[in-house]
Amino acid sequence: MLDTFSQLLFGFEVAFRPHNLVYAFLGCLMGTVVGILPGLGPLAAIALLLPLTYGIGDPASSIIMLGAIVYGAMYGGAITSILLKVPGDFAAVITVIDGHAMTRNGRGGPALTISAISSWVGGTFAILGLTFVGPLIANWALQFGPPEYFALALIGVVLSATLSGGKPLRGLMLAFVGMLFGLIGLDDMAGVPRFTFGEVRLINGVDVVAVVMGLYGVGEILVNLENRKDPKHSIGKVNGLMPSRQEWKEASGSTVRGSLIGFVLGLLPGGGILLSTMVSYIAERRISKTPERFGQGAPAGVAAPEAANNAAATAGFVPLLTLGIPGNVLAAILLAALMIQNVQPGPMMIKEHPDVFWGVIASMYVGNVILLILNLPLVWLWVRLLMVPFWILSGIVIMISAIGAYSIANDFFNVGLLAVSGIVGYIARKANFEMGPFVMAFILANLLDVSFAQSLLMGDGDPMIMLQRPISATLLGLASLYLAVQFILIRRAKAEKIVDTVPSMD
Amino acid sequence: MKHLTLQRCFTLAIIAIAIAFTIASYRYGLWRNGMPGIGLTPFLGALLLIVISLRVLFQKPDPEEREKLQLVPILSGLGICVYVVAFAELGLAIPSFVFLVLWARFLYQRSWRSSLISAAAITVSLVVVFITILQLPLKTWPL
Repeated sequence: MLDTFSQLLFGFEVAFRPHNLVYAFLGCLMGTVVGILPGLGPLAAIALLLPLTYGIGDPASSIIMLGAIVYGAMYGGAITSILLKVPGDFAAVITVIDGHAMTRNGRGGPALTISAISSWVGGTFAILGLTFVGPLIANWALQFGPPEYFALALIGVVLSATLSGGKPLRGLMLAFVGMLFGLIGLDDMAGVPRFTFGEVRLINGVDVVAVVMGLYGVGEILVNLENRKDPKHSIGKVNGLMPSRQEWKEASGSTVRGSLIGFVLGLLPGGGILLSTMVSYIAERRISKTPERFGQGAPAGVAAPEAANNAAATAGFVPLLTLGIPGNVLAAILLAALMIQNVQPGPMMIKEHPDVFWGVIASMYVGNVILLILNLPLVWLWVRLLMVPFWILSGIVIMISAIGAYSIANDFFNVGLLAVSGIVGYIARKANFEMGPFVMAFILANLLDVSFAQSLLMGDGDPMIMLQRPISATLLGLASLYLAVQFILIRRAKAEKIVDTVPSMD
Repeated sequence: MKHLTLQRCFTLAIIAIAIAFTIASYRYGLWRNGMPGIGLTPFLGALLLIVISLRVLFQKPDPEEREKLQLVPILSGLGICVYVVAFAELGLAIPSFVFLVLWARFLYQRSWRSSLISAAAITVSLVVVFITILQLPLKTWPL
């Protein structure tokens, strides 16, 4: 425990360096600005801003800025949910229900305050968890071998496919597509290029950042082009920010419960962000003495999902920093950023890059406080930003995406990849395919491949080795059980739907 | 499989990709000299992908999901591809200015005046921020 404190103090020493404070501030500011743009969610915001961190040089500073961008972007997404009824991403869908209802009731300002404070509590709670649970998991993971890593990566892919908000079978399908595209490039075991078709620029693989920028940034803009002649969104008025005593009271318990639910579900490799917001909302409605107020502007309906999604997003950093396996798509993009900085997250990271590990954790505390200080006094600015016409914003975003994709490797190949991914992102959205599992599997592909091949080598070609080691066998067993339960539940739900429709057909 | 919905077209494209990966990874070799070949993992992944995709392909289409692609976003996406090629050949300034004018004038029906002014302002800002201040190795003009 003492060791954790002394390391954390070292982390604060890194986070409080003036240049790192500036990066954290800029990250929060830019993350909020881009996250707030209607039609662009936090994921698009992070993907668009990621190239800005390449030039920083120092991995700790770069990741500190990225972490701040994540917080800023998530908070920006909540603002559009509450004031515009436009959720920035799937995690903010639940916040729309009561957040926008509060705005309709003339309580938009207090809804924003409740959202900011519950996000801060959820984020801080999860960082505390990461501080104390992280080193324990990292120590435990030192005994992991290839079969355990294979099992963990597989669980990450399976859970992301089924928890991302889309249909599980489609999620699995896209996860496998992501895995195949993630395997393009030099094979880590044999050092031989694979699926590159003689293209030298593919030897290092398809750049995930350009793909994500295309899928989520350009793709979202193309989707928005369908509604370009629609009337403008009406922006809710923000008069006062201070919640009433009753609103504070209703939101406080929900914030604590949401944080706890978010942290626990967010630890699942594969990402429980959406799940955590849903579970926390349903739990609050169940235990409420006035459940009928949910949907009509209940402060608890804003506090619980906002605390939960921030806690879950931060909890996703636990498997990333301790095992090298991202807990959600946001963490998956951070993994890509870490690898660009030559930092390989995993159990050895605490020893090899203590400045990055503890610096990032400490900067999360700092970033969360900066965000709170920044957001509430600047609400007027955020509301003004919402008024900037989309035709200007979309043009700027396309230009910045193109320059950002170019700056990844100073090569136009990635800009072309961005444009093509944008079209694919649009088609996938229209066809109702959620691309989160694609991105997760894309990033985990090499780990899956290498750990699978190494496991087979350890077992002299016998894949049963994965079932002979207790940890990997337990993990694989749990993954199979989870998948089986998922499909049974879907079948049952379908059967019930058919039964339900029979009387109506009569 | 009566209706060729967008979901089914998308799934068919994925099946085609999976078949291509299956063949290519088989050619790379699945097992060599007592060691897993570089084609083994992608081969198994592609086979599983084919099985799952076929299952998705034959699922009953959800009536709520009958969405159609619209021409404007697809053409705009192709326009972005053309912009990328022009950007590589002619530098940042001219293609960005032209793209932004067309974007504002024809997609959003802004007046010529506001399209030209906004495109010029954005292009100048981009050049100042990314080339003058951040000094990205990008060319501004064709020469």
